[in-house]
Amino acid sequence: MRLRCQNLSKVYHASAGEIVALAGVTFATREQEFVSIVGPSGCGKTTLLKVVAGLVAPTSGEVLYEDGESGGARNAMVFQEDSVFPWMTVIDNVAFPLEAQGVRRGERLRLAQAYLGRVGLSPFYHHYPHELSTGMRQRVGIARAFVRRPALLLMDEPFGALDAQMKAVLQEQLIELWSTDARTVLYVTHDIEEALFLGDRVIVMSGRPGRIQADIEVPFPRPRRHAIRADARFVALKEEIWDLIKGEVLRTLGGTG
Amino acid sequence: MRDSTGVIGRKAHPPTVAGTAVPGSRPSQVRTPIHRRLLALAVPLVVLAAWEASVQAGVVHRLFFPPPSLVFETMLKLLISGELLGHVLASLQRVFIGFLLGAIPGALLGLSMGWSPTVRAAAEPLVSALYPVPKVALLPMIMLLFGIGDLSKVIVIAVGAFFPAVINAMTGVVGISPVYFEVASNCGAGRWKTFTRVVIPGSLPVVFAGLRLALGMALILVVTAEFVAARTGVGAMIWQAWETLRTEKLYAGVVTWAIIGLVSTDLLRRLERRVVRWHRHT
Repeated sequence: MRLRCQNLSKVYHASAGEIVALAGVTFATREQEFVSIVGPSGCGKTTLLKVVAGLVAPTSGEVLYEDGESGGARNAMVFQEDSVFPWMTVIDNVAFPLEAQGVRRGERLRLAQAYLGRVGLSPFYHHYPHELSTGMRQRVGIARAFVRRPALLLMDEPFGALDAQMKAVLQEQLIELWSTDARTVLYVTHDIEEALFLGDRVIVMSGRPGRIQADIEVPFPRPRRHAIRADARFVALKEEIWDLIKGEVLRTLGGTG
Repeated sequence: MRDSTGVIGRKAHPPTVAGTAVPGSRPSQVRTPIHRRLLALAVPLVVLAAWEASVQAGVVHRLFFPPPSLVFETMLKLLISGELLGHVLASLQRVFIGFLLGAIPGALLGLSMGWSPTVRAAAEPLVSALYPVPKVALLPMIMLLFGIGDLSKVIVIAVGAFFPAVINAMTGVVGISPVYFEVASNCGAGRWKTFTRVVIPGSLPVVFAGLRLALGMALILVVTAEFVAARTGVGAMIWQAWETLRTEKLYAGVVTWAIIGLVSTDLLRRLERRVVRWHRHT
């Protein structure tokens, strides 16, 4: 599926006046492309994902899903915060999107089990989320997104709250899932290394109001190993993006820019 | 039994995954340490013993403070004669019907108020205005409308149980994290699915807190209502005992109702634990 965002803007009306979260965001993805989005905090990355997901209506502009044939949902979102329902067991959580679509119980549990197996949570089907670690809960969230076989996967800093080791493990698991179950992915993160390691492309957003500042192709072939983080080209790209974001942070802080 | 670590009679720790949960195991309820449980039992016993001793020593008058032994004996006699059971059943029946008539519609209205801003805008002013009114104050008005029989008692209990149920159910829904509604919406859940799978379970711990308050209110109101124009019920028994200065019977009634209160709130708590298994209970 190819996603096209045309001139997306979002203005929030707050008590202190208008907040322009997005201003004229235009980009398009290729088929089954993994697009990372980085930017300073508060730049509207989450707003962009929610607009693309249809959870938030844009003030102007359009979101177009082109050739959206995946046999599954149009999009599935993995949220930044703990979004797994604490009142459902692990398996019921993963099966919930199918339940919402009216899939029969046997069928949806079978599919949920398959995806839980793929994220390594087979022994935990009937546990409640509070019995799991943060990393395991986030994997439940990922399985819940994949089970829908969405044309577009929207991920909002899914590993933001995890420690470095857990993050590295889950990044590899995600790429493993994605490579056998290819989807177009928009992956929001504030971690530049993660954006480069995972993405085919990195979109760099400006500080508020959120615009696209740069759109960088990531040249490394797959499968990638964590060792590429030490590669000279990787480091150079990382610094290039870091400088772009730093400039934006300084500008929004009222510095020289 | 000896295992590879050489520890006798102890099982080696099963491997943990990601540092927290163990497959196939569930965290067991943490038991209260034995000394605290003994303390909880010992303090009331000491108070009762001191009371008994002061009456026997003539420090306090036994007409005003009948000794615990006499109260206990009276309860036993009332129990054997069947009089106590009749009063208890009459009161419990009023509590049960009044509670169901008040708390269930209350919880449902509260859930809809929490979920729909429109329903909240319509109902909140009335609920907020009536909530602080002592429900006993409505009893004469209710008796004017519904007579002095059982119906009035049930209605005043229902009204009393209604408000804590409404307010807590509403608070419970409002307190559900917005991300769960976004998940439901992103998963394509319709209004009914969202209601049954997010609104109800998400608010249930607070709904139950409201039901406990509602039950407490019902247990108070039934006795008060039975003081007025009732021939049966624990409240009526207490009132008649007062009128005839049979203080040991008066105390027997109070103690009986205290026990009923403890048992019924405990039953509700057990029900809550069964229904809300995912929540960490205190």
